[in-house]
Amino acid sequence: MKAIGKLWRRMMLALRSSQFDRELDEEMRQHLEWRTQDAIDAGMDEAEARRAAARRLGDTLRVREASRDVWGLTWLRDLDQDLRFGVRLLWRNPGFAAAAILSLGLGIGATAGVFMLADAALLRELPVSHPGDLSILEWRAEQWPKVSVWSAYRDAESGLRVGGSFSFGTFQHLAVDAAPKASVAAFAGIPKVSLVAANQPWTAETLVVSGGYFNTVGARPALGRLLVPSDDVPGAAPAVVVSHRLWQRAFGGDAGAIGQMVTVNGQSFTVVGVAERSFFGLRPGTWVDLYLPVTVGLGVDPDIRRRRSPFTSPGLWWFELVARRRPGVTSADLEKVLDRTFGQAIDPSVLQGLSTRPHVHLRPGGRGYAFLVRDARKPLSVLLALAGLVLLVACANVGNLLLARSSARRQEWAMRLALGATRARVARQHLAEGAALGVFGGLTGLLVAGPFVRSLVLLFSAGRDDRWYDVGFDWRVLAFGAGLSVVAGLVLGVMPVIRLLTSASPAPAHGFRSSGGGWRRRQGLSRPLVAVQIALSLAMLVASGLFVRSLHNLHAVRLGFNAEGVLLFDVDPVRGGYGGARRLELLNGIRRTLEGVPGVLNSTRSSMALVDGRRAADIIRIPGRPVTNVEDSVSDLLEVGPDFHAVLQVPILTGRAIGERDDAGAPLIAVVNEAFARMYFPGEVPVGRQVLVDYPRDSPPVTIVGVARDAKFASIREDTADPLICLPDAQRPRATGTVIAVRVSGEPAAARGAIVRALGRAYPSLPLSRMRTFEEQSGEQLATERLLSVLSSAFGFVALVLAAVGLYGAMAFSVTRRTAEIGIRTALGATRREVVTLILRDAARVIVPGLVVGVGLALAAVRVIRAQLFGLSPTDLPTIVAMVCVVAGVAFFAAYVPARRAARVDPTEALRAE
Amino acid sequence: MYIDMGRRDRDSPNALLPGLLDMLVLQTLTLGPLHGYGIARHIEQTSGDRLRIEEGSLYPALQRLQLQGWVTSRWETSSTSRRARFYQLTRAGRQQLDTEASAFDEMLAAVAGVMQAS
Repeated sequence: MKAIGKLWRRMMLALRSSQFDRELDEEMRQHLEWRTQDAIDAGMDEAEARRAAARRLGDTLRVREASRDVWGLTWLRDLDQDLRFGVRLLWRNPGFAAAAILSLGLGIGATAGVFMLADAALLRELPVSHPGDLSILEWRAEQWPKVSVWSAYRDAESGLRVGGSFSFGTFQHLAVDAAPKASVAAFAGIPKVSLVAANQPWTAETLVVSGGYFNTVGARPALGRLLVPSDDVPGAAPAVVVSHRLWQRAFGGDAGAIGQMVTVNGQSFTVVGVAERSFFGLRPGTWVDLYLPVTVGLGVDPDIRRRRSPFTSPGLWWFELVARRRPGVTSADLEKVLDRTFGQAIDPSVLQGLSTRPHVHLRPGGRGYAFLVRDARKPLSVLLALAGLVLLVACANVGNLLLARSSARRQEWAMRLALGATRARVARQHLAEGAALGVFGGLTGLLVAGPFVRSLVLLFSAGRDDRWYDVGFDWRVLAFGAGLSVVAGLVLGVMPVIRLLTSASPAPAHGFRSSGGGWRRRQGLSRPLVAVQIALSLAMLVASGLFVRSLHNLHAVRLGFNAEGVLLFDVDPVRGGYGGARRLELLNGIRRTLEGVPGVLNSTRSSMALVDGRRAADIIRIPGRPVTNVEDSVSDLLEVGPDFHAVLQVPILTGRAIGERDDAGAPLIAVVNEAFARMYFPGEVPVGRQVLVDYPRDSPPVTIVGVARDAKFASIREDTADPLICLPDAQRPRATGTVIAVRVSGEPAAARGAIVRALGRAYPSLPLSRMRTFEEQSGEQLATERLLSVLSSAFGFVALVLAAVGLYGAMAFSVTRRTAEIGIRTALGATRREVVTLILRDAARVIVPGLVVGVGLALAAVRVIRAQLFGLSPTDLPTIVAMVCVVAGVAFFAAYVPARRAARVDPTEALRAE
Repeated sequence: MYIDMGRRDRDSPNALLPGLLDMLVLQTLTLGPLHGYGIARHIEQTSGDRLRIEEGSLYPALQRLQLQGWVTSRWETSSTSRRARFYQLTRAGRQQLDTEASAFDEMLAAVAGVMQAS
């Protein structure tokens, strides 16, 4: 407290420091006058009195200095001078200053930009009240409980099964028992819904939430009210809360939206409120548009509608739980209470055959589910590291320039020291120059960071409107940028200071002569710095080369089907008014309509598109064979229309494909892939065998009629094929979206218009969406890979340019220094070629170690990015060799330019200069 | 007697009784706001001219007391209708004076004890 008061008074005084001297002088003048007057009054002679008074007060200048020192004003004035000096130095060399500030600005801006994105995606707290009081519930178990679980994974480190979702019954028990210590809320995502709002169709990411959700989470309404527990009881009026974003889009931000009816998958709801603008749900990087109360809301999920009693089924663990601890309750306290209740509430049927039960574990919830943003975390950290390296190279470059200049300014320093400046003062002037560079570089960086981060976001969220990052400057980003600038400034300032302090006592007499001697002795730090730059840029270029090549591999991957010449688009029969039995009518009608479109060869449909990043899987039973291990009884599942395999050109190996005759009345059949046959019928003939698909429950068995070749299913990154079973969609009642695949002759783009027009005429109310080719679709999927290749290449290129500039500067400096030596050599008969070789050999002593270290760095670094690569080893030799060649080529070229200048040195001129 | 309090470092071994000048100034200001010359005169007069302040150290001392927050200053018109800087004791200054005065008394008693014992 005392120290703060002192600091405050010091600051207030510093603000009016110009008055300080004036006031003190006035005070002392009066003092002298009064003293003189008193002496005269006492009978002294006036001149004598004046002298006596002055003697008593002493040297007024000394008094003033002593008074200033009390406040540290002298120090402040020196600092002010040094800073002005630093800025003036920069101003005097505008070329140098621009190069240095731009280098730093690019480095700082790139790093801060990536940090902003990471901040938004991973670090920022949820925009709710007291986010620190939130906990996220998960369970950990040694064995999988026998449940259908929404979100779970196996933790690679501990080997534990970790799940993030619970049954609704468990939630109700937990909420009651934990009530004294915390409020607990449940929520579950359901498939994108068709929404009709203000007479317009939309699709919306939807969450069903328990009544206490908003209160627990701590969200506030922008308009109207949020959901409350009384909305979530049987018989309550169906209420819905919309996101601010949806409100803007669908209602144009009209306050009259409150009270309006909307339909969600055909069911009516009343809009009761709009969530706060910043509230996106609990998953950073995603966006929820609709919030429905669980009791009424689950009914809109067609999958759930078909299941019996989703709330009470103890085997359906679909709800994610979040808790807000009451004041004073620790996470450990709450965990104990929750785990006890969990143990009592868990249904014994799901634990059959398990030796231990799952236990509740609490995660800090302040950042929501950011820890699950795994796909963003890895590329972001790679990018952050790359941007940091660019900054490092930039610092090295600017540092090198400063060093080179400080060498040139040795005489000036020697002079100053000789004239009585202390080393500390001279050092401080260097630091001040570094600080000025840091500040200007930081400001430039802030200018760069904005546009840079916006393009990052575009690249990151390419083609996925459910992805969203609220990227902006917050205190953390500003602190990060400021920290970078300060560190950069200090590093830059300290480098010449180290030289200054370690150099032998500089006598001006020696400082005036600066020729002769290699630069090895003169520039102790400069050479290693250039080598480090070369090493860093090589490492970055190797990484970017690997990214580019794996992106290329991903594009060239063998899919197992023919993706060329296929157009895909989504239709939503329910939204178009073709629910229930009319759906199949519609889909067959679309098929017939498409046959008549010029350029269309044939068409089919499936429940989801191949290699679209999505998959559906279910438990498979073979009649007469008990399920021993759930994990070994799973298969991917795809519902397809007639001629699916023919249109996508997936070869049928044995048996037949699914055709028109496999309609609702025909015997139930399936076509499986090779992996399925291998897994469930090893060494047997699968055709003719029966299997049971676990969903919907109690469905009759289907007979396998064919085996198709393995093809990529969910993602083109799959290494091995998983079992897949294709079922005729005519035999499977569904209600959600369907993907139509059309094989066309010629360029797919040309057929687009004709298809849209033909379908528009035949089915005016049916919305088509996402018309795309497989190539475009994988483009969306490969956004992260493309981002990494584009940015790492850009960063690598910038680093290489900076390194080349650094090397050029160093060599040019060396050539200037060695002018006399070169002159003598030329005078003694050295040819131009020999002179060039001489300089290049000198450069090689920097370049070669740089390359060696760079390869080492690259080999160490690629371990980290292994997971981001596809289809090539991280130590891919061609990439490394190619990048070494590129860097070596650029480096030697940078050295060659000054070498040529050296070769043109006129010996007489050079010697005369001596 | 001549008190040299001109050094910035109050713990300087050269200073007899470090902090004495500060204490005298604080004590003087208990009478009310005074300007620098007034403080010096008051100390001279009340000590019967036996204590003569080195005036060169008075002004740095006043700055020091301000920095500590024991004294504030403002420009005012004096009785002779001239503007002068008047120093005033703060509450914190009064507390500091109490501390210093009692410490000083203790020290005097201790010194007296030693002197009389021998």
